[in-house]
Amino acid sequence: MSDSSSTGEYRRLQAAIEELLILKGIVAREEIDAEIAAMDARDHTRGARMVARAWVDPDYKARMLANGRAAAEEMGIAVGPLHLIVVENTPDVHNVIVCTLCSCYPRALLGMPPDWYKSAAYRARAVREPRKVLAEFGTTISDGVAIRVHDSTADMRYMVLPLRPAGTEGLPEVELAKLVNRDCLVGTRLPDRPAPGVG
Amino acid sequence: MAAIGGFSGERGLRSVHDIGGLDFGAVPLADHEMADWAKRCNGLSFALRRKRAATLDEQRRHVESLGASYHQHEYFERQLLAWAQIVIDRGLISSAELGRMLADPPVLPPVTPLADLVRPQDAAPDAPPAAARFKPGDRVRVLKAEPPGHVRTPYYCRGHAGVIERVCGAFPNPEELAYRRPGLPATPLYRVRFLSRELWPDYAENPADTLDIEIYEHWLEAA
Repeated sequence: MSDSSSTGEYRRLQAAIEELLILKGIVAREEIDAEIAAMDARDHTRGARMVARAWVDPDYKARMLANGRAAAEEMGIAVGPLHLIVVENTPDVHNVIVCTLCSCYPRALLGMPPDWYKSAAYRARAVREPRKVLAEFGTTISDGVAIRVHDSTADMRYMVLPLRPAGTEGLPEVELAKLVNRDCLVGTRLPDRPAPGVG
Repeated sequence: MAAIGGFSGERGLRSVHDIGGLDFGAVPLADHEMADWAKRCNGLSFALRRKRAATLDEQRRHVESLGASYHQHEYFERQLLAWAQIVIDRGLISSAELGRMLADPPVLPPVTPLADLVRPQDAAPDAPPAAARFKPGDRVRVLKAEPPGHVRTPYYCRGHAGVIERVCGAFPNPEELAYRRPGLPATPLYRVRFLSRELWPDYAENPADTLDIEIYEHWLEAA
């Protein structure tokens, strides 16, 4: 698992496969490097920009809920062939994303998933006891709100549009985006609250 | 590793990766930087799939084939072990070549050049997608079947009835893609909404809670 000797074995195996594929002309080092650089450049701030725009622009929100990929591209965010479904939190519904079978995640938009998203515990339990799982993140969803779990196991990928936090009425879009943490885009947390005195 | 305890008695024939509804203890919240080899493994996976050298479902099938050792490996360890199988299975690298490269000291093998990358049959000509049989609002039931092989229908929803939430389009059948076949014609894919309390007899949270999941048409029947 993570002791140094077995980590060394994985490193050697990865290097051997990579070297041989390059020697055979099947893939170029530069192509692998380009994929790594592209993935490093993706993170939740891209989804956060979309959320902040949706909070201030109802027309954009409608377009985002109708077609997530087009809404990303409209903001200059390239996501390739991603089939993105954006699910909206309301005062009555809270959405949570999981992939019970592997760890499907909108990587083309948000980058790599966090470790907890890939953990057996999250994958196994989020579909069966979502409130207990969210409580472990410090997130409480009131009993009157319905939780809608999305098991992302096939060709669609999902992002949550969280509720805009109270007390943010005067905040500009760029400040709103800073409140949108990674986990609220998966539904395990809520957006951050604005710092006192802001907005 | 926490024992599979709290939700016991329903392992059945489900595959080792199909864990929805089981109990693996508390969610580990600490996050770690990816190891460099894991980043390179992930980059290699993306580059090879972009070249259509293999499909994501092949990768998943090999991950699922790890059997009992699945839960002893971390995510990228499983992915790397899957790619070691894929490159051999596809004839991209022989196991002898891999063995010499992994020897101590490594023996740079005289590589067998490939005339051209053998394209998987998933580059087959497009076939018209099948017309969707169900529409939003239709009540459907997921087949209660336990086929071996690579399937994307989790065990926990099999045999349960729900409502079509939307038609997602038509996609190559992953059960075929995983075995290097084209998976065509594309299969209609639906999002089906279930009441959580109907999926789990002991569901203890809000009775209005729901679960949405994508299901391919051949797993559905009218309910």
